[in-house]
Amino acid sequence: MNVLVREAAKAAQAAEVLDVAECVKRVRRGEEDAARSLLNHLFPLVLSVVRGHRPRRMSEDDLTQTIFVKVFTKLEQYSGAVPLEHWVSRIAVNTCLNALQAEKIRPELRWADLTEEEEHVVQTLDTTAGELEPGYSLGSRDLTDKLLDCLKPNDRLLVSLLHMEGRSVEEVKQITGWNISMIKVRAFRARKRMRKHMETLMKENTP
Amino acid sequence: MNESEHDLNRLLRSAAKAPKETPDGPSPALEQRILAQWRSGAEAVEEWFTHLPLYRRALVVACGLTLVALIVYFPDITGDSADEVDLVTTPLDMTSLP
Repeated sequence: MNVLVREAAKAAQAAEVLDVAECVKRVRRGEEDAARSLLNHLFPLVLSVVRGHRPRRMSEDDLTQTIFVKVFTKLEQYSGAVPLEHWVSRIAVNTCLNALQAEKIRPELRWADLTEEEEHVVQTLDTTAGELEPGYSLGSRDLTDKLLDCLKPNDRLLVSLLHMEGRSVEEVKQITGWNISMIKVRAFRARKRMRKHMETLMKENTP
Repeated sequence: MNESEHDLNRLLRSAAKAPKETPDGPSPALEQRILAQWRSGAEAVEEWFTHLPLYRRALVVACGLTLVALIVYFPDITGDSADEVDLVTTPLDMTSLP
């Protein structure tokens, strides 16, 4: 099952137990128990965003803390027009994007930078045409992360949202606030850059 | 679809299938850190990077102003002042008086 679907199912289960609207009201009144419940309810969602879009040099916990404190302090601004999870996702994504923009170094990926597992993935991609075996998924994810590191923050965010998290263009529009044509054009260019980096790796692999 | 596009699609599909274990809740330490910061009434930790675009713009504007100032006051800086010429020529003018 897709990770996002699992996360959504977990969140839905938790929502059955937790009255989110009531909890938000209590947090606004400053009740700590409610804040703790909301934190636990939203944690898997925030963590999945952080893991997908965290800069390499920033710790997962620090970024998660920054996002949650932002959420709690800005909770007065939440109107309830959209589900709380969407509102929180947007804050999380924007915070990650700011953190990524601060990381100026975009490394050039070389064959020597790859782990053995990632090398196998590249070799398999080069020599076969079918879908990769499930055993390659971890190596593929690590390799994809390295390729994403070579992209600009906005491009990286788009590819992650569209291809790693399986979100639709409409969802990406809601999360980022960018218009659809801009999303499509930017995603196209980002993929082109990723292809270039992959081709370079494959050429280096070819004796 | 060209070959590299096909390879990239295969890679992304395979990467998306990788298991992602998400803990059900935050660690007690992290929970405490977040709640403590919230209780203290502190604004979200606005890292320096949040203001980075502002700093960049400020730097560009400062450079622009410096450049304009340099252009405007260039003659003064180089020392080609008319006053100095006047001063040097003053004795000559005095000798030519009737």
